[in-house]
Amino acid sequence: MSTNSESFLTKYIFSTDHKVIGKQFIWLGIFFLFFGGYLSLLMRWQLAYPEQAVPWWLSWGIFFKDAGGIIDPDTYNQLFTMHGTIMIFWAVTPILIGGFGNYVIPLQIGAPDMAFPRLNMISFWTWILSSVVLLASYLLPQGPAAGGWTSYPPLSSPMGGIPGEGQTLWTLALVLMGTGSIMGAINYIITVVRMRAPGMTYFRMPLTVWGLWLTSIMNAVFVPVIAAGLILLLLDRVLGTEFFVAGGLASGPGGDPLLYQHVFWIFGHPEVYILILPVWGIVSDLLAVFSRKPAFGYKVTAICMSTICVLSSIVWGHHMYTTGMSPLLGKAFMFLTLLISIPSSIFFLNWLATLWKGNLHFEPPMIYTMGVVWVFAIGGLTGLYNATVTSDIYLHDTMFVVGHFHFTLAATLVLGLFAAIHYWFPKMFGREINRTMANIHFWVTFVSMNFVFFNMMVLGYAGHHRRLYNPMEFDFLKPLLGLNEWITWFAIINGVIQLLFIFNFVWSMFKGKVAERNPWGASTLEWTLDAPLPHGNFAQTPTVYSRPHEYSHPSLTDTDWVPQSEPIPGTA
Amino acid sequence: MERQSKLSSIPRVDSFTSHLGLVVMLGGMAMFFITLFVSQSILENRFGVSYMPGGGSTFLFHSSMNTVVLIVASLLLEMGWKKLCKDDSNSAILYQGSTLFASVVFLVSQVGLWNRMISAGFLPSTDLMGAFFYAFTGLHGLHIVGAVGTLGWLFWKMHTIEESELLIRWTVNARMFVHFLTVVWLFIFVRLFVMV
Amino acid sequence: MKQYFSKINQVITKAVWGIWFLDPPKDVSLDGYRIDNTIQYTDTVITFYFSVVVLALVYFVFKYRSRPGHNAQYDRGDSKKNLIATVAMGLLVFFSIDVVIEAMSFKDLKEAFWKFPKGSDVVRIEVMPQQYAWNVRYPGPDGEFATEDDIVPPLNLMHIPVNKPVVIQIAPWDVIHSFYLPNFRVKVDATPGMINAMWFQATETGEFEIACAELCGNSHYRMKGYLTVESESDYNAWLTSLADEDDEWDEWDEWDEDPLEEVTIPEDWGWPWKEIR
Repeated sequence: MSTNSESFLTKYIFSTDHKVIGKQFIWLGIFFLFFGGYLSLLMRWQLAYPEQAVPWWLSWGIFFKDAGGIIDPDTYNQLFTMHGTIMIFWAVTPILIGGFGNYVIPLQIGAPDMAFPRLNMISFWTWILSSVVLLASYLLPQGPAAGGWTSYPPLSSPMGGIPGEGQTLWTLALVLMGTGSIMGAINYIITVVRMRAPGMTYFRMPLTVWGLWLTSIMNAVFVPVIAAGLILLLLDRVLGTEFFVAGGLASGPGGDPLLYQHVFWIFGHPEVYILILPVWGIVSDLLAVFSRKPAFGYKVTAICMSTICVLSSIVWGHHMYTTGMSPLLGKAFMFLTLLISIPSSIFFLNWLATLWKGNLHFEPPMIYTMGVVWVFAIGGLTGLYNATVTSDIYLHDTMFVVGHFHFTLAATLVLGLFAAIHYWFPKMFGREINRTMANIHFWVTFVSMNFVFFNMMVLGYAGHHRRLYNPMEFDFLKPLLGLNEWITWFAIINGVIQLLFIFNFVWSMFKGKVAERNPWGASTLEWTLDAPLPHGNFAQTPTVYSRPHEYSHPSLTDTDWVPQSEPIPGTA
Repeated sequence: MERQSKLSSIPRVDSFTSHLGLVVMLGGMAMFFITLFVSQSILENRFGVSYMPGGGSTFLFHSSMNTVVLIVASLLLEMGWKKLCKDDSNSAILYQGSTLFASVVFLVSQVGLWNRMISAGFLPSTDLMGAFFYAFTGLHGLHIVGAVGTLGWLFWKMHTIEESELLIRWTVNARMFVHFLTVVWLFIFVRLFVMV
Repeated sequence: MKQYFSKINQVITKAVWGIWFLDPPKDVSLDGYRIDNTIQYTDTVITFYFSVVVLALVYFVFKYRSRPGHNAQYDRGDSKKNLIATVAMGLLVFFSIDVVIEAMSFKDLKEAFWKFPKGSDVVRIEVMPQQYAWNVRYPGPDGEFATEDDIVPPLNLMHIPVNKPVVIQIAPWDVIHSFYLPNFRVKVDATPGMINAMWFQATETGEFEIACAELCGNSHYRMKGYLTVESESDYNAWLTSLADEDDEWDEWDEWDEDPLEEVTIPEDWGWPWKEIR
């Protein structure tokens, strides 16, 4: 496409090119990843050294000055609320779905761009607007939201006792972000359905595209549900309605806090699968690339991922076992939740089988990928405790759940996005990312994450419940202070090593060795193009002849790969 | 024309793809509406429908009139589209202009209805019925504002652009959007005004 | 039999996870061991499967690492044999963990947690959590709630007799709270507009803590209650002494801050006992 009338504004700021928008999302996400991570370190300090001043290297001499450097209970509640909200919606979603979704989907299916480039651009700027609204809540005199990322009413209603309007801005920011999400979802769904290159059938798409496509379908279906719930909550906050207020705080009958929980979790459970599906897809692909053999049971993996999507929409009650729901309902949710084990185990085994009898190359993307396999195994297996009603009665709302979801969300997703960044870096920026720094970063991150989140599960099993400003108020938690301290220090180490990543990322962008066109020998379509990739991607629409991972095919003699756009010698 | 070349520098997909995109959007909107509708059903079931002030009749008349206006708007848009398909762009512009006008009348009349409700002391904070009333009508109204904007933009394009294929595609999309809003309004109307 | 099962699980889990394994708070309830068993069984089987995965990964890393002369073996894994093998292994995992813990859970729920005790021996208590304290109410000599002779102890105090089933009905005053007894392995949410019920039975006397397990505001972290389990005679004596006194707040001296000046809970906050099927 001709770009003769492009200004700086339309090329870099209001670009409609999916590659530029993808990178914009990644930058946005990385900013919030660090922001949210910083919030978690403040929380961890308070847990390890309750009511002691935050050290200078954590407060930077700026924060908590009035209180003598000590975090107070209101602030602490704000910390875990914003940490959760930011990490889920403003860090991981933009990087994996907005960033890599945008960048990779058209390239991997052989399309010139997304179906709706202008909608794409609007989606990014809607996200920026939502970020501004969210961060604006920090400027309020009473600070940002403090009702937990789940924001259960009546606590999150005006009568719940949280001071200030931070909660209102939070709700508004989420509604705006949801709108951006839906826009992106429409784009991805239609692009995959309508713009695949000739020969690119559904079962020749890389599993990354499968993951991102399934995520988008779930986004389009479920984000409107949470939008509805949040708008009702917003009306409760702003217009004096009482949709979710009952009991002593309500002025009359008519509200039900439990309704909010249902609406929230009908979205909330699919949401966690929305977050993880891209990583499942990316890991499936990367294991194939770096084992130099096809993704084992590719079709079965795609079908398992789809099945999990369907199942995930009917299991939301497992977040609500202690709310007093009818026994029959509890049993039904338990049964359905446990069913998800089957497709999950199957595609996990396919991952292992991909490695089996392979030719394993431990480049940076591969080590992160194998890290994902490890942490996802733990995360997935520990979900079983929470799926079962009886063990959940004890473990619900304890640090065990926190450990479980940090394994499946924080560890899996973060290692996954690091794998994605290292893998596509040569294509995005034309240079190689430094291998030594990547290795160090991986091992320190991996070890510290495992330590931190595993010990959270230990704490939870010992009875440590959640969202506590100072656990030492309780005698039965007093012995756990030592472990909290250990966790904090490993969390701090984890935080510090991310600086190495950022340095590597930025430095390699400018000073890294210029990369060849296909440093990994991958066969998907994006690797047939030279960086920097032009508008419209492919000079000529490619024709696809084969599945995405035909590595080490017996007909291949001098190399072990051939791009999808060329026929395998000896076959049609 | 200058404007036209700037438009076409961004590659366009074919009409079917464009319509499919709109259908997905409407699907999302349907999920949004269904959530609200089911929530209302659940809460109303449990707590009982309260009495709308001033009796059902005065407001029923006003809201019925609004409903008729919206249905007429949809019909006019439908007729306009048919004219456009037959390449009769002059009639089409006339019909589309009328649709735009009717939609604005709907909005104004809805605001009038709100005014009357508020004077009667029926506020969002009054009770559950009030809360859902303003929630449904307000959100629907916001989407109608979007429709008005779209129709206005389309009206302007009808005057400035020649490519009938593009115009037909946009009209079809606008038409689906407006009809969807009309159908949603019928649900809201029956639920809020008739079934009290 | 159950005790051996539990012991074996504990030994294996401790052996594998070692010093890190911290015990949950002492279980003094009649049915808490069921939850502990389910958790421990899950621990053991998960440990086994995770070890298999780790061993596989380590083995693969060494055996299949890239080196001169080593090639990958092309296998799409889409043959019928492969499909059957993976599905079979998936089902094996499902049946060895999921189905077992589900069966254990169903059984425990049916035999214990959802089988509310009936009869005159049952102690009935109404609990109403608020920001940030626990209100407790006993039915008093007439055995009915929401009557004149209900006994309301000072804030955050609850006494129960040992070896007697206790049924709690809970409804909060303001926001969502959750009644959590770490030493009894029970937890039930208190949602405004709902009255939830839960039962348990103590097997030992002692003083135990009550915690709030659902974020309820800035003092959620110190919403602490004290549960005293004592002999039946001591319990009855305590109740009698309370019935004779007015509500006194200065008996409670560990609450070191002015509680609830602004929030006035009406004196008659109780509700008639909801029938449990």
